[in-house]
Amino acid sequence: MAHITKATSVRDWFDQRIALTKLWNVLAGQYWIPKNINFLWAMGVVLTVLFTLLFISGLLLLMYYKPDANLAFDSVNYTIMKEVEYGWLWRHIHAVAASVIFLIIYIHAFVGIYYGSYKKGREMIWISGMLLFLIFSAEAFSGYMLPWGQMSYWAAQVITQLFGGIPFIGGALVEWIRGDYAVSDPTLTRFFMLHVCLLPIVIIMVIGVHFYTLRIPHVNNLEGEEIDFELEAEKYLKGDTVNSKVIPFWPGFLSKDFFYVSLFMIFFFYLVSFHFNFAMDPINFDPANAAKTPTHIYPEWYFLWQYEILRGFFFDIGPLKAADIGALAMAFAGISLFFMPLYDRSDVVAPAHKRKGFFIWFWLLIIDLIILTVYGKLPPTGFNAWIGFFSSVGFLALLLVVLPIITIKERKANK
Amino acid sequence: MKELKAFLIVVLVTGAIYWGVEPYAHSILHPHVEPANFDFAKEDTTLAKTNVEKAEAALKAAQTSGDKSIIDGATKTLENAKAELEKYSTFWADINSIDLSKGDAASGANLVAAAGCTACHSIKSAGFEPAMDDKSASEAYGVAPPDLSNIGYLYDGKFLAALIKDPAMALKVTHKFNDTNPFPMTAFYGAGGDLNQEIADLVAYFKSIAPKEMSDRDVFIESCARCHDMKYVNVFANGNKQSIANYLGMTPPDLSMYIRSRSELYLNNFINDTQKMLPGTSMPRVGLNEKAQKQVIEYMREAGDSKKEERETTGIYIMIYFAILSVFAWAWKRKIWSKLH
Repeated sequence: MAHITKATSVRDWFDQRIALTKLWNVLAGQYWIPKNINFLWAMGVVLTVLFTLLFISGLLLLMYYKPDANLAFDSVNYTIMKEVEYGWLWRHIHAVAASVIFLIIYIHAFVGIYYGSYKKGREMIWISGMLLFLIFSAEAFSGYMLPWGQMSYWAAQVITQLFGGIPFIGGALVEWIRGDYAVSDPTLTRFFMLHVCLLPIVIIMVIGVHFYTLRIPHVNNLEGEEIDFELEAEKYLKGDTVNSKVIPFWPGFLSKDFFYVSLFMIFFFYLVSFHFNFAMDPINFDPANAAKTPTHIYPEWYFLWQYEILRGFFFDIGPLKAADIGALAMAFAGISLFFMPLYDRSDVVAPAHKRKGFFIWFWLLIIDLIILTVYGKLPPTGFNAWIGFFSSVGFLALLLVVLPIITIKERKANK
Repeated sequence: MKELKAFLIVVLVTGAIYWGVEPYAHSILHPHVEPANFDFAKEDTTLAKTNVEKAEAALKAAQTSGDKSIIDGATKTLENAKAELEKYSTFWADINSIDLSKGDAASGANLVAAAGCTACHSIKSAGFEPAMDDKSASEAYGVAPPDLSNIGYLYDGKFLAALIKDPAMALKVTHKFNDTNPFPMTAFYGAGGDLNQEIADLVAYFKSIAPKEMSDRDVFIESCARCHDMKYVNVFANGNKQSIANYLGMTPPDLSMYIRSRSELYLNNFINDTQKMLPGTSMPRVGLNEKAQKQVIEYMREAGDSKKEERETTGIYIMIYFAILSVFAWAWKRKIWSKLH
C-alpha cells in the first residue's frame, strides 16, 4: 500500500488515495493533441455530445414508453407527445439525434479516410470506430422498431427476413430472431431489450476502447505529419507553448470544441423545433398494420446506400439467385470499411489532395455513395434498377479493385 | 480560410444527400397533382381530363409492347376515362344550369317535409328530431344519415345542389354504387314542380337555417366523425362500427395522427377529391367549402400536433441560448489559444 501521510488539502487527500492528478493528466491535462487540426477533428466530441443527448433523452422516454404491441404506438404518440410535459422535446431530441449522429459518424469516418487516419499504427482506432458504427446501426434499427408504426413494422419484417438467406439454418434463425413466425409482440419486447440495455452497454464499452486506442498512436493531423509527441510535450511543459506542435486535450483542444459544439447545437435545435420530420418517415405515424403493406418500403436515410446494394443485384447470375447475391453484397458492404487498412497498400499518410490517385478515388466513392443513397429510396424499376446495379458494382470495385491498384502504384512510385 | 473551404464542402455534400433523399425522391414517389379546387365542376372535369391524358399515354406505351392483352386493357381504361369525362361534363353542365339566386327559402322549407327528406335526416335546429338513434340508423343505412342543420355552413350552394340532384355523382362513389347496389341516399326527383327550381329552393332553405359560425371540433364531427374516430381528442364515430365497416369495405382509420402521417397538403387535396389521391377508394369526396375544410385540418392538427406552438417558441429560446453560449465559447477559445499560437 502507498504511504499515506496527513493530507494538506482535499485534493491531496484524494491524490494520495486515487491519484486524481495523475488520472486528470492522463485523460485531459497531458493528453496531447496535434495543434495542426481543424473543425473536422471536433466531430468526435460532437458525437460524444450527441450520444449523451441520446442516452439522457432515451432514459426520460423510457419512463413512459410501453414495450407492448398494443400500447407502444399510443404511448409514444399520445402519452409522450401530448400528456407528458416537454415529452415532445425529449422525443424529438432522441429522434433527431439518432438521425444526425449518423451524419456526423459518416463525416467522422470519411475525414479519417481522406486524411489516411486508418493506417500506419492507427489501424485499431479505425477498427474500433467501425465496430462502433456497426453496433450503432443495430442500435438504430432496434430503436426504429419501438414506436411500432407502419414503417417500423415493415422494415423489421424485411430486415429480419434477410437472415432467411443464410443456408440451412436461415428459416430457423429468422424465427429465433423474431420470437414468432412473423414480427409481433415478442419481436418488439426483445428489440426493446436490445435497444435500451444490451446494445447501449456494448456501445459504451466500445467507446471506451475507441478512446483508449487513441493513446498510443495519437490523433492524426491536417498534414499527416509524424509528430514526436514526447518531445513536443516536453517543449510544451517547459513553457514553450508557441513552438510546441502539440496542445493538451484540456483546455487547448476542448476550448475549440466547445465553440464548435455550441454552434452545432443551434443547428441541432433548429432541426428539433422546426424540421424534426426530416428524420421521421410520415408513414411511421400510421400504427403498424400486419395486413397492409406500405406502397414503398425503405429504411432511414443513413441505411439507404446499403439497402440499394441489397436491391442492386436484381437478376440471377448462373446458379446464384438475385436475392442471395444482393444479401451477400449488402452483408459485405456493412463490414467492408473495416478492411480499409488492407485495401490501401501504400504507407503514405497524407491528406487526399496530396495523393492524386487517391484523391480521385475518394471523390468517386463519395459520389457513388450519394447515388446509392438517393436511388435506395426511389422505386427500383426500369432505369433506376440499372443505376442501382452499376453503382453497387461500382462500390465493390472501388474498394476491392481500384483502391489496391492505385495504392500499389503509389507505393512503387515512391520507391 | 482553409477551414471555411472544408466546411463548405461538408455542407455541399450533406446538402446534395438531403436534396436527393427528401425533395427529389418525394417528387418522384408522390407526383405533383393539381391543388385542391373548391370549384368542384372544374375540379372534376380537370381530373377526368388528366385521367384521359394518362390513359392515352398508357395506351401508347402499351402499343409499343405489342402484347395484345395489355393493349386491350389500356384501351378499356381509356374508354372508361373518356366515359367518366363525358359523365362529369354533362353532370356539372346540368348543375350549372340551376339558378341558385332564384331559390326561395320558404318554399324550400315546405319541400323538405313534402319531399320526405326528414324520413331519414333530422334537422334538429328546425325541430325535426331523428327517427332513430345513430346506432340503429347506421345499422339500417350503413352509416348514420347526417343532420341537415349545418350543411348550409359546410358546403357551398353549388355542391349542395349537386348533392341533392345526384348524391353518388357529387360524392364520387359511382364506381361502388349502381342500380344493383343503390347508394343509400336516393337522388331527388322533385315534388312535382320544376326540378331545378325546387333544388334551388332547398339550397336556399339550408343556407337560411345554417349557423354563421361553427367550432373546428363541430365541423370535424359533422364532416368526418360519422365514419372516422379520432381517439386522441375523444371523437368516436357515431354508429355501429361493424355496419360502417361493411358499408365502406374496411374499418375507416383513426385520424388522430393523420396530420403527420399524411401531411397538410395531402389532406387538403384528399378531402377535396378523394378519387384524385386514392383512385377507387370507397371514401366519398367530402366536398366541404374552403373555410370548413380549413377548420377540419386545423382540428386534425390540434389532435396530432398539439404542441406545435410550444415547440416553436421553446425552440427559439434554446437556439438563442446556444447562440449566446457560442459567443462566450469563442471568447474563451481566443483566451486559451492566445498562449498557443
